[in-house]
Amino acid sequence: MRHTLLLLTVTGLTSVGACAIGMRRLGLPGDGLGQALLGMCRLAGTAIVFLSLNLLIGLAGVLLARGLGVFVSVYLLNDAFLPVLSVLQAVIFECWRAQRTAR
Amino acid sequence: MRRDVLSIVGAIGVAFLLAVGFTPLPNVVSYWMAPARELGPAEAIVVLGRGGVNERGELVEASLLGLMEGIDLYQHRLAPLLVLSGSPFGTRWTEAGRRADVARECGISGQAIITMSSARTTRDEALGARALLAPRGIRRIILVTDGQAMGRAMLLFERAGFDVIPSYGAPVLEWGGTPEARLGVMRQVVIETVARLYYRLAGYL
Repeated sequence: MRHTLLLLTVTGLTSVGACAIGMRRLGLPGDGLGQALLGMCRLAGTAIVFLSLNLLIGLAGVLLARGLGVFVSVYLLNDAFLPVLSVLQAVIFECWRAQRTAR
Repeated sequence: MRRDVLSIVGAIGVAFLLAVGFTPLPNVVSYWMAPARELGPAEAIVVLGRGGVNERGELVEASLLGLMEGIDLYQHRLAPLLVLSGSPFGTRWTEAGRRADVARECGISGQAIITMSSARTTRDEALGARALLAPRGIRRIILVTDGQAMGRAMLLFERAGFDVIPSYGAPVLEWGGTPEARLGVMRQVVIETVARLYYRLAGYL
């Protein structure tokens, strides 16, 4: 419980700090936060799509290898780095898409 | 894909992630998935493979924990035989062989240890155990594996003709844990759910 409280307090403090800097120093509009949250959800959604595709293709590869007589463990896909790579894919893809919107 | 659909998927994903990290949701789901049966005497203790051996020939932590649980049950005289399973791939050592070495170092007689090194999946382990134990007339076993994997493993061993007792007897609902630990539990729950689905589609369950 203490662990959870510490994490929430630290991230809460940095979030409030970022809001203060954004509005006072950078002049960002406060009502743009809703759009930013929506953007975060969109980015998370793209990351989930990438992760699902990565897992599905990986699983198909494992089953194909097994079908060809080579045993490959499904647990190879159980790597904490796969979600990280999926998030990076999503960030790149969304940044790329944002360029088109900005033009 | 439409942006609003992606936003909805993302919002659900983020809400789920926060619920996993900051609520007891993973603990409850894990507890719900774990079968319960009263722990009692059996004819053998079967310790399923977990993670294998590293490049130096040492058992990985999960494998060692499973082995220790098996040794503890044996030393409490819950069964006279310890069956140690483990995957054969990865290094020149086998998990089952290294487990047997550690069990002997813990004072367990070599005659009370049986190793099973050829199984690569839980289904292989159930079939392998039947081939080893059925000729000895052994039916009632205590099964040692992760709580999340116990349900599927129990079904497979029961289909192989065993009367199975989970090593923990009745699961305990633990409310505590750090967000990272809860994320780990939910990861195992998701893996096990996918594995159960695959086993059902393949007709193993």
